[in-house]
Amino acid sequence: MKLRERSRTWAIEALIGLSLAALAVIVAWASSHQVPFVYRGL
Amino acid sequence: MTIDRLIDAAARRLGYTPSWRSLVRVGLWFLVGLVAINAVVPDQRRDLTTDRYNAAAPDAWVRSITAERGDPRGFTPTTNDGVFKIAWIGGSEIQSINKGSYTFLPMAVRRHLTTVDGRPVSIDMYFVSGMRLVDEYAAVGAAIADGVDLVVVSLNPVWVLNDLAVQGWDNFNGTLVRTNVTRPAAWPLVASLVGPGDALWSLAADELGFVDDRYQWGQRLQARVDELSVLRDPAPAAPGAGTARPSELDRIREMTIPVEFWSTYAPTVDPSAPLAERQAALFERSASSRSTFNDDVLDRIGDAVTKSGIPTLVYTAAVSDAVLDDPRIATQLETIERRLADHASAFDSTRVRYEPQTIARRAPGMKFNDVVHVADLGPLANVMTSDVCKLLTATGHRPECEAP
Repeated sequence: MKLRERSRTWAIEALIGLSLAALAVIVAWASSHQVPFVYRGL
Repeated sequence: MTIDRLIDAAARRLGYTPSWRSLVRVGLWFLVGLVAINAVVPDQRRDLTTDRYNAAAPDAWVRSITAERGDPRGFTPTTNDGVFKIAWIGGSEIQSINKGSYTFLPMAVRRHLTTVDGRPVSIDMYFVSGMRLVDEYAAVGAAIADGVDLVVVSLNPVWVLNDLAVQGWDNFNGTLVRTNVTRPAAWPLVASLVGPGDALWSLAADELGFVDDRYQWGQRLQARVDELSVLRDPAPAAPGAGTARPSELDRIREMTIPVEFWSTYAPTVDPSAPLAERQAALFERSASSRSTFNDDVLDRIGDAVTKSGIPTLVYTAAVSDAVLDDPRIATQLETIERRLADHASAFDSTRVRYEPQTIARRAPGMKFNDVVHVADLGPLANVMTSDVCKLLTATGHRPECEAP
């Protein structure tokens, strides 16, 4: 695999992994017993 | 399938073809992201002075350490450095509420017991409004984990064997998981109340501050999200504004635990019956219950405190003269006391004192707002101080107890 392709692969995977981590923070905060928008949405 | 289409699209548009190794790398980036966010997000410490109970009854040496209902942090113990730390576990029965005065039994005891082993006495109250037996077990576990010097547990005779309400605060589930990992005998009990999610949250909260503080962050997030909403909650009416009775729906909305709903809509006794009859029914429910759930919890509390080696006083809270003097209710109370006495073997230790009889029998002259809520402690603080001092002396400590 060329260096450029490998860099792109890693960049995409880093983006996915870090985005999931950010999503996990939002889920953790929203899932406290306050359940802010999940509850509101229902 | 959608995932196949996504992979095709990623290959076509981005020239990206994932492999099984990609999953591992994404997982690693995910962990790196969590650690990085944890390092950046500031720790949210609970300010105990702003707690409404501590604000109402401020005391330099005694304070409630219980988080708000719904906050999974549960309890936030204070420092053990340089003090003789007492954990006092109890529900609303440890309060004393009278016109113009609001205090707690541990505060009254602290006035008679200021120093032990040359160290000032500091009392963390694991005070939980509407505390049920499983909540007490969670608090016992948290107190032992905190390494306190003495544990005092108040058993409320109204609720201790009541099988309709074994747990009041499910935000202690994480505490239950965390403190029972090394107690296999308690696993069936814990597993019957908590889910795998509680265990995972607890594990994550141990490692990541932003997960542990999620209740506080959630509140802030809620405030932000509310601003975005086109819907507006009506502002709560000011006290005294308007004379209209709250609607039935409003009254249900104000209920915080299921037992409040069921005691209204599926009562075991007619709500319009005289007070004495309703009180008798409450005790009768506990006395005649065949459920062994609370019995098991009581044994687990005994097992935890005896194995901890921490001097522990477990007493049965006071009830009013109306209970003791009414033959119908007194009989039910005696049955409850006998059932509590059957658990003495679980508390069998030279470092543990277990009192299955209501302490009201040894503290005549107290005044009550109802069957169990105290208006005037009367001689109770002296009796409790005496019991605590005897236990401390018997376990090799040097308490400086002020004579009543």
